[in-house]
Amino acid sequence: MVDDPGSRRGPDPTEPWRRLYQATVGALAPGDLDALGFHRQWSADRQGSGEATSGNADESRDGQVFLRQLAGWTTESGRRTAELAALMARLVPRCGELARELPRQMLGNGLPTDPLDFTSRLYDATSGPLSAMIRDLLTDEAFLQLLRRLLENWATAESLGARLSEDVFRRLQLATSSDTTRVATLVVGLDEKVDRLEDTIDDLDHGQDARTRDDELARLREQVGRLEEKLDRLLAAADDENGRAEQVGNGAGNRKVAGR
Amino acid sequence: MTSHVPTDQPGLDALREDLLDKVTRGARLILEGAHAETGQTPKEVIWSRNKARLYHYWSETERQHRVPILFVYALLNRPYCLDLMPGNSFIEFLVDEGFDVYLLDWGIAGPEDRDQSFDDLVLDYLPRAVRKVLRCAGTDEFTLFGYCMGGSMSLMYASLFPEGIKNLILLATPVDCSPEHTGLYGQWFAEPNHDPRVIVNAYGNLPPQFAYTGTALLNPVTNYIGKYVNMWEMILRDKPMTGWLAMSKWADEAIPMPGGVYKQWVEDFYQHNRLAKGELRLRGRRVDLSAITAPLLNIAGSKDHLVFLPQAEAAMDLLGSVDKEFVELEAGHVGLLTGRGAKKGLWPKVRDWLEPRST
Repeated sequence: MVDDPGSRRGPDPTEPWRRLYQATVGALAPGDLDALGFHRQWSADRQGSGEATSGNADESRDGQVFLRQLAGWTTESGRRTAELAALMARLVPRCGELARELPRQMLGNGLPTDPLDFTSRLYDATSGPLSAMIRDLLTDEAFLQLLRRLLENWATAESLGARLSEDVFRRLQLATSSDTTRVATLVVGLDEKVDRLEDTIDDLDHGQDARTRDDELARLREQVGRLEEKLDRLLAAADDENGRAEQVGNGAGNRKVAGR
Repeated sequence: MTSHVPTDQPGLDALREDLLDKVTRGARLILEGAHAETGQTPKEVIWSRNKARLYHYWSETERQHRVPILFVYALLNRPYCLDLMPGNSFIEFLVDEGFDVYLLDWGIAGPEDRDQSFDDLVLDYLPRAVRKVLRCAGTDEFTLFGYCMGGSMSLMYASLFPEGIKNLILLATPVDCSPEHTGLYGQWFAEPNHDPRVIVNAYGNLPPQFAYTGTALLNPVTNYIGKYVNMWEMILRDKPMTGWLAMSKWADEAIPMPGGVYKQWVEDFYQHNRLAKGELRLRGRRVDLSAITAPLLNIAGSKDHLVFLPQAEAAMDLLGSVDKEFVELEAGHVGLLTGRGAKKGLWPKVRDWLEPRST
């Protein structure tokens, strides 16, 4: 048995993500999607908590180091959970305030006369303390960090889903959203060119003397002429290409016939 | 709800029918959203480019003021809150007062607009729209009126192309976005809490539901619960609700923001406060607010949860204008524009300020 130095290494923590990526969208063109996004976040969080080990690559491959990292991540998760629990605990006095305020406001002017009156009073009694409670939550740094991580994970999952559906549609030879976007971009580009042309014509119509106008017109005619020449060359090239493709097609057909 | 409860069977049946009808109406409004006829002041499109449309408003009233007004709207919602409904429309009011009014609507961004940035909007679109307004109005001066993010864009434009701007009006415009002035938005957009590239890379544009939720969470109880408490009260007590329907339709109709703009908005405005610091550059051209010398009317709402008073007031020190006035109105971000408060506050104020400056 060959003693492979790699076999003594500890498990690579990025391996499951790499495999998942390769098994799903690995064949696609590189883009914004980060195959190791989840892992990187996890790892960045770990470093942020001060649990990071040195950047020695060999050391990180060591099994014991991985176990230490795992312990660190577990501790970090525990710390976050405790932070959230503390945040919830801070909301308790607000709940008490709400409980005190509720009967006072609900029954202050006698009993509610109908369900709508009841609902309106309930809203008036609870909206203030509830707003304060939600504001406490939305301004808490621990909650905002949690929200950021949720958003990042959600966005990564969305990207992955979009890439997968693009790939499926492409394999089925159906138009994908990026195809539509490409066409739309061309249309927008054309629209902008037309607008610039219209702007130039507007300039000609407004506030320029006859000589400048004639010069501009001559220049514009020259530009349009050049544009037409380019289009002609483009069309000719496209015709040639079609002709060649047909010849190749016919040739292949002939060969098939000859082979029978 | 009816206070008199009939005792006979036909009366009870009618009451039951009426209640069922009202409950069905309410449930449909919650599930389907509000429908209302909005933006009804007559207008025509005089220029378009990509999704942007430049509208020119008509009126039976003869034009009494030489200088036209160009409204520049934000990129978060549709601009028809400026022309909500007949009798409750700021644009209709100005047109009826004899002003020549134009509105630049940026349209609804598509996936192909993900790279669109302030550079494109301020350096390509706005100058073209301004030229079109001047040609259409037959003048060489105009009043630039920016609302919210449209105000910030107006400032960028006015700094880079000051010629032709007769007056500048800013309404609820964020200028100084230093953290002490920006409240919850500032905290959410702060660098450790939010990276706009995450959204831009995943979605291209800022999805409308994100924009809606972000704004609604600034005042969550009112936006998610209070709104419907009011709705049930109006339905069950047979109160008129056309205004509520129009506002609700507008508030629910968030639109995607181009990815490039969103990235700049968060990074350049909220994270680095570049506009106020004079460090903002569009295609290498520095936006220097002190270069703006046009008369300035700067209006902000004391109950605004989106743009706080000091954020807007900062323009008073940063702009080079000599003739300038800051007006604080007791209203929220949208309440500034529409409703009873606006009719008594903003509308006459703008008319009175503009009339002597529009000759």
